[in-house]
Amino acid sequence: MSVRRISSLREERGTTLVELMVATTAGMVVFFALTTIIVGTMRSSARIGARVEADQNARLASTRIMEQLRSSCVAPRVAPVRSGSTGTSLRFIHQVGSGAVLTPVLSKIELTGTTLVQYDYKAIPGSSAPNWSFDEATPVSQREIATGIAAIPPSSSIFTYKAYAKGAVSEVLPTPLSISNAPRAVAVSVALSASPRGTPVADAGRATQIQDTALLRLTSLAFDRETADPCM
Amino acid sequence: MTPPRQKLPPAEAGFALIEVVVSAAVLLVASAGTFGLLQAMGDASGDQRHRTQAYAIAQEDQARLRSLRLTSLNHLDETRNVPLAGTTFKVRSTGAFINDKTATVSCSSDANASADYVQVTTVVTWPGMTSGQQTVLRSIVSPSNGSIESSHGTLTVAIAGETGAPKAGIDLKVGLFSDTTNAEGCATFPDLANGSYTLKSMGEDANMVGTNSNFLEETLVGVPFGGTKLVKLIYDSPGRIPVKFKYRLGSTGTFEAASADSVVAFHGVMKEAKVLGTAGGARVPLIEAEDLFPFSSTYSLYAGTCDKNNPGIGAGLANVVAPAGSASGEVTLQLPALDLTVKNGSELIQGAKVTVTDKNCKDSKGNLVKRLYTTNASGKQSATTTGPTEPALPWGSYEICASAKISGSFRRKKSATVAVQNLAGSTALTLDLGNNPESSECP
Repeated sequence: MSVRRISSLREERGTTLVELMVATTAGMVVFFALTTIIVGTMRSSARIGARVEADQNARLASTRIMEQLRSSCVAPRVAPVRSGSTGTSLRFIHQVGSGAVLTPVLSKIELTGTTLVQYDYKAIPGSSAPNWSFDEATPVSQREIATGIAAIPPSSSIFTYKAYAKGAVSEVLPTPLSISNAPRAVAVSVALSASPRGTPVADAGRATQIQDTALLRLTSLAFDRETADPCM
Repeated sequence: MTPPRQKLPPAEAGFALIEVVVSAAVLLVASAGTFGLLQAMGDASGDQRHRTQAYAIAQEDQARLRSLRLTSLNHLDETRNVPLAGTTFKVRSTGAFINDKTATVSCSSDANASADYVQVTTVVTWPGMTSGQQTVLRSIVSPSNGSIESSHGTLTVAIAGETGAPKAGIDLKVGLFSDTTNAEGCATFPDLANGSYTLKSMGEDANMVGTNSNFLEETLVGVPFGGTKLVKLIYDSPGRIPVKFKYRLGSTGTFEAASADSVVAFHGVMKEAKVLGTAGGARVPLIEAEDLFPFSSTYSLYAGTCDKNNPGIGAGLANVVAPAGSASGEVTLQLPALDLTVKNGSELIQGAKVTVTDKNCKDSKGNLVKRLYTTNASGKQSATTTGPTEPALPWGSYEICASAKISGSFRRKKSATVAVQNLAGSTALTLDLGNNPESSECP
């Protein structure tokens, strides 16, 4: 047995080197493949994470604005959108409560750079419906709604104000809203693009685009009317 | 030098290589799983983004619908494309008037039932969407004072079966508007200008007939000024009655199978009787009286095309129920027999033309029903010159004309009006073309 084993080992000397080379080559291929997979996985994971973050940013920003806009009819026939509103700055009154007439808060939602910031202003004591006055010198609160926000190209506006014309909400009002046009705004459209905070990997589709519209009406249009005011 | 490879022990050759290859295979399998997981994560992320966008678009559409007049939401069903971030979302918007009392599309046994509000529905879909995951938003819009033309009214249609069960799927049409009855058998046409309309109800798709045993029924309805008109219709699955025929010559107790071209089915509720088969057409031994409304009481069935063919009593009239959605047992009607002989003097004429004109019943074109025969070797009426004698006729009064070409010229003989109404025996008639004939052919 020992004689045959020694003879056999002597015969394997050159073969071991070939095997080692082949194994090394194959191992390198596997190593590179593994590295590629790991890198790809990390990049995909980062991209997915960024997109999810963008989705959440967009949804959060849209929901916050919409909920307040849909609570903006605080009293019948009182137009909630204020003059001076622009494509990147929305000024409106709103409030939530159970009273017949609510004392509203004036809010300004403004895009500063890529950050949407909301400023709230309190009604001046003594002012009453429908001509509330607000102390706009100092906001009572200021909070960041979302970051990484921009208009959806090619538009440069996030907010669009619309009025009734020929029986449909079809007239886009020019901005900044004039004193005469602001009481006609019966719908506010919000269209924005939200990006993730960081960009760990290049991804052209990382930003989420979202659009929604709040109708500032309590009832539908009468059959014999072509136009109507907000909060009726 | 290395010894030749073929001298290596087979069990040890390439051992390390195999290990590597197996390891690589295992790694590939693991990689495939990882990539699949990544793919699923990416898909989920994309789907989540589309859902977020679709929800916002649906809300936007709801706001748009709420800005419209209620009259515009009436019968609304439109689809439009909304492109957003490289994806084209398909938005379908619908509006339907709802009765608050029943919380269904307005329909009630209460004559004052009305459409109380509009239910607006938005369905948003997008390419590559997981099946059944579309975004659906539904809300209501209540009519405010002045939002509906005060002179307009509402037409509500309620359709039930013979037993009172609601019938869905009946197509309705009023003027330009169409609708289909829902599971409660109801359909509503709100905001119609007051006045008279023809309501068309069509049961072909639902395979149901109205009480006149027709799939299409027309009803004249009036829409009131500022009110609601409730119209109740009855539709149900049609029944079928197979009808056969028999006759006898003389007073013999032996009956022979007969053929007929048409059968009349009538029920007291029907506005007019239904004629099955073709008056004056091909005579067949079996006629299926089908598409009959399944009244719980009996139909009157008799051979022929009009009420003058109704014997009123006896074996020529059957009273049978048409079961809903199925066939009754076979019915055999006895027809009176006309024992006609056509001859020329003492010679029986084969191949003579015989026209039997019903003196009381008209076909769909308004002409008196004519039945055509020829004569066989016995000079008797038959479908062919060599066929069996066909003496059976629907109960009625007839004018019989026989003509034949004899010695190169036509000879015609007409009878006076003959009543073929004897079920206990038969009616004998001989037309002799040799006895003072006219020189023309029967019509």
